[in-house]
Amino acid sequence: MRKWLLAAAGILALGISGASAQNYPTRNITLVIPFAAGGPTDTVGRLVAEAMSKSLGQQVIIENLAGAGGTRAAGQVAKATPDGYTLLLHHIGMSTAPTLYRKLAYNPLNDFEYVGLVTDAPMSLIARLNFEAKDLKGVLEYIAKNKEKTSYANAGIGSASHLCGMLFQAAVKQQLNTVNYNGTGPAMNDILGGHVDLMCDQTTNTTGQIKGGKVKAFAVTTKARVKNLPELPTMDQAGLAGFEVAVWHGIYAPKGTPKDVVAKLTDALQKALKDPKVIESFANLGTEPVPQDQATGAALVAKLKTEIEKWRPLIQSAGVYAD
Amino acid sequence: MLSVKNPKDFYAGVLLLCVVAVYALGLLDLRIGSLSRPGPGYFPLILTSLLFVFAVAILINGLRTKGEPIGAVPWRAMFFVTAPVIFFGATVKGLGFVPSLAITAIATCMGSTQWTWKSALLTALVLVFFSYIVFIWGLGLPVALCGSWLRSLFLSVGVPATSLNLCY
Amino acid sequence: MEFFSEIGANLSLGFSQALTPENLLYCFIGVFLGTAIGVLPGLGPIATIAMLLPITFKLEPISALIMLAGIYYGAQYGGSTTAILINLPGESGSVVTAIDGHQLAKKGKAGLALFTSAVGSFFAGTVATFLIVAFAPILAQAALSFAPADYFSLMLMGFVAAVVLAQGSLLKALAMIVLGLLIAMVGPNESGAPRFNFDSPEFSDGFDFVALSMGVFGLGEIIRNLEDEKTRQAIRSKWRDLIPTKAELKEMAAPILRGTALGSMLGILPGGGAMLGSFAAYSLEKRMSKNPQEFGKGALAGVAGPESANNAGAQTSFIPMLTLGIPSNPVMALMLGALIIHSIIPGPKVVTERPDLFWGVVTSMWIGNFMLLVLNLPLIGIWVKFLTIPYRLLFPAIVAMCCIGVYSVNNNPFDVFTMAACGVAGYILYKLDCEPAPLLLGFVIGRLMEDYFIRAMRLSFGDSSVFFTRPISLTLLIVSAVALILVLLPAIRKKREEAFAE
Repeated sequence: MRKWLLAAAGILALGISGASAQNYPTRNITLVIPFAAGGPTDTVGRLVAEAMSKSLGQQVIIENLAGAGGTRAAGQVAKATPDGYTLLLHHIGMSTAPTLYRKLAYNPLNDFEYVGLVTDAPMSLIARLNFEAKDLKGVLEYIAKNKEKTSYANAGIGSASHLCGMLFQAAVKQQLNTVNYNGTGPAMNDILGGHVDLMCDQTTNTTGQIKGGKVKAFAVTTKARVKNLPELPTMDQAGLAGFEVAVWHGIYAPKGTPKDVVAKLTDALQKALKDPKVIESFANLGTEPVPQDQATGAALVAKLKTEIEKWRPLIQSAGVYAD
Repeated sequence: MLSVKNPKDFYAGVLLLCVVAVYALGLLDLRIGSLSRPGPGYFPLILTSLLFVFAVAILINGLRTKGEPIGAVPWRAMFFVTAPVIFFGATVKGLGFVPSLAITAIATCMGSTQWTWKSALLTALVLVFFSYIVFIWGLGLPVALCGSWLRSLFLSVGVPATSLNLCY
Repeated sequence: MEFFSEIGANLSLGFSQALTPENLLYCFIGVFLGTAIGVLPGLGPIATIAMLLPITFKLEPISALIMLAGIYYGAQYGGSTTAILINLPGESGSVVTAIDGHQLAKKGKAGLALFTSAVGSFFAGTVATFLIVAFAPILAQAALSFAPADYFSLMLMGFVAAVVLAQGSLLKALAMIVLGLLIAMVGPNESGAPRFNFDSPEFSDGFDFVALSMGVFGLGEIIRNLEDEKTRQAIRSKWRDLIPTKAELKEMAAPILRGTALGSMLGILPGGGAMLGSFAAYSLEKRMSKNPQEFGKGALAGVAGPESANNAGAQTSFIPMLTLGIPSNPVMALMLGALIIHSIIPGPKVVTERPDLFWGVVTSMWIGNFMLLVLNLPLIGIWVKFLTIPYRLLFPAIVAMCCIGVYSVNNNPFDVFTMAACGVAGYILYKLDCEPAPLLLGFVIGRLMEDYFIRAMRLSFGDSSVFFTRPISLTLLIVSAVALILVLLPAIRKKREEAFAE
């Protein structure tokens, strides 16, 4: 019986390998993206996956597991076999989920191994083309005058544009008329159509519209100006002191993934972030890879911790929950 | 005297009323909101009320108008079509793509009253081969050929992990 | 004059791009792969493109986009084939095609239905491509004037179209649409609040269209076919049935024209217009027809109209994506992603900065549609042969394909369970004379209808008069009201006659 099973297993298995890092990886690695294909996170994931495949010598395949604001994918990866063949690329949502979802099935700080940070994608504040204000000061005046009649579009609860909106409302100390859309596309449609006033979204989504002159743009949300939108000041420079938010991305592995496997992945990530093609494509997205010392597990954990603390009071005072 | 003259309408009404009951239960937890701030329960409340009205009207139709009987139900087919599907969903990860699909295909064949082992096995073989080519090899569907349950089974009988590459 | 010379210049630029041997090859590969995968139950354009996206990374951006576009309309066409042959609509557009298309197939006229679908799609594709060439920027700008309130009224029109669709009891059709709308309510609403999940995480994201459709139509149909297995015979179609008679050609001409017009118009609207095209066209044909009682029993116009509308909508839905950078459906979102990966920032400037790309893709769409026609007319013979496979061998294959197809959409076993449950539900509904098509259409428009309603209310601060003060919305509401009255009148009159008779 045992011999028979051995033979059967032998037929099933084609390559020869072990679970240790010496040979890792011996088959395709799955990088789970918690959002639908085609979005900004998916794009970041695909670019990095392709570059990581080169140095790992195996294909890194993208699996889109959308649902429940990204928590479904994170929950599944947390429970996956910790062998380095299932990874997660998640954005800022990893740090807001513990507050937005009161019944979260996993703990972002406990259930993962941390490969490293990938990129900080900037966001930009835009408005419909016929919006009265000329600059951020004008926007603030408009809000002071129209108060909650000012409408703000976002791509759905937990999305980057929703988070930026929450931070913005806290900064201007005024509740806006928040309109939730089901994705960036429909939200942008209503900005272009002039049906809704403001939106703050990733430059990946806004750059085309800004350059095409179809929307008004006021500022970017990063500490420094963005290279491919040089005419835009930062929020801080334009009049909202200290306002800063970026959509940071990190790569995670299930808890218990062997240390040497994680180290190999971190190494592959660092190499990928030096890849000229990645740098160029990121630049087109209006972003750049994080410095090499940030593409480490330690940096990712530190970022995750501070971000969880940053968002908790904001979400709680806004009283918006996703469950 | 009330009697069911049109069973198709009558039972359709009953069934829809059951749906209404389920939704009414779900609505209890939802905020209805107002016209300017419609809550998550606003639209469902309107729809559930509408369905209630339609369901009652259909039910009454079933008592008043004449209609045909419902007719026999092919229980065997119903079982052998749905059960294998559930089996596939439940085992595609654990057993893996190949064993799960093979068992599903064989079991589905039994839904026909004219099934034989020979044709079922042959159908399963062709299907597994075809699906492997199209979905795994061609489209790169991210699913293990042989799943994690089989991996632990093989490991427990002493198969070395090095030869279990396809099971994960 | 200037207008035409500009079009001429654009077209020649486009053809110079699309007609390079390389791009012709990628166009063909796309169309071929799309059709081949689209015919597999459960695998629609979204899944196909998502899986094949990595292949296109290695190509030039224009070749990549041409290939992806080919996959998109190829898969859509392939999906119609499945809908007609085995009553398995894989996406909302082919739900109505399945109604009469499959009835035609059961009568041994599968070849005719497929021919109609191919010719209708080609004609619609040609017209829609021309529309894009001539008017894309204007049309895109016009579509932007649709505000949430207008979209709500549009969805209401979809609701009325779904009522017209019904063949049997009007009351049951209404109940089925509302049931569909209610099923769509499961899952979080726009504010993220979970609904009707009864504390089970599985239900928290709601149901998937493909799982629902594969279950209600696909599995339901199989159980139903196994009812009278002994008496059931394989459908025999003759080769010569493929070539339509003069009368049949005449019968399909007007519906193709009307479907093309309706589909093109709706397809331009990025907020979910394209999916309304096919069933608006079906309802229109049913109203225009001299024998509306034929609908649902194999009316040729019931295939010609919706199929043309579907393909026209599929083409014109490229307009908001290419000219504005706004995706009107998940497939378009994927294409935008592909553009970004190829270092092209989608947006209004693509037309002026990369005219070669824009016009190349547009003209390739016409070439692709032509390839589809040439590829598929000979294939019809093979598809029809497919139906002669004994059913006891065919249905396990369909079930297995459905399982894999539905699983592949989200890699979620729950979708497979949903399909099984919907199979039983679909069979029960059939037994109780409740039609599944209005239910599915209700499901499709459900969430959009609610979202647009809530957005309209937010933006107007609860003033429901926006639906009547906005001209677009008002027009749509009047059209819906008239259509609804026209449907209800005969039913009411009939009731009254019955009452008099008693």
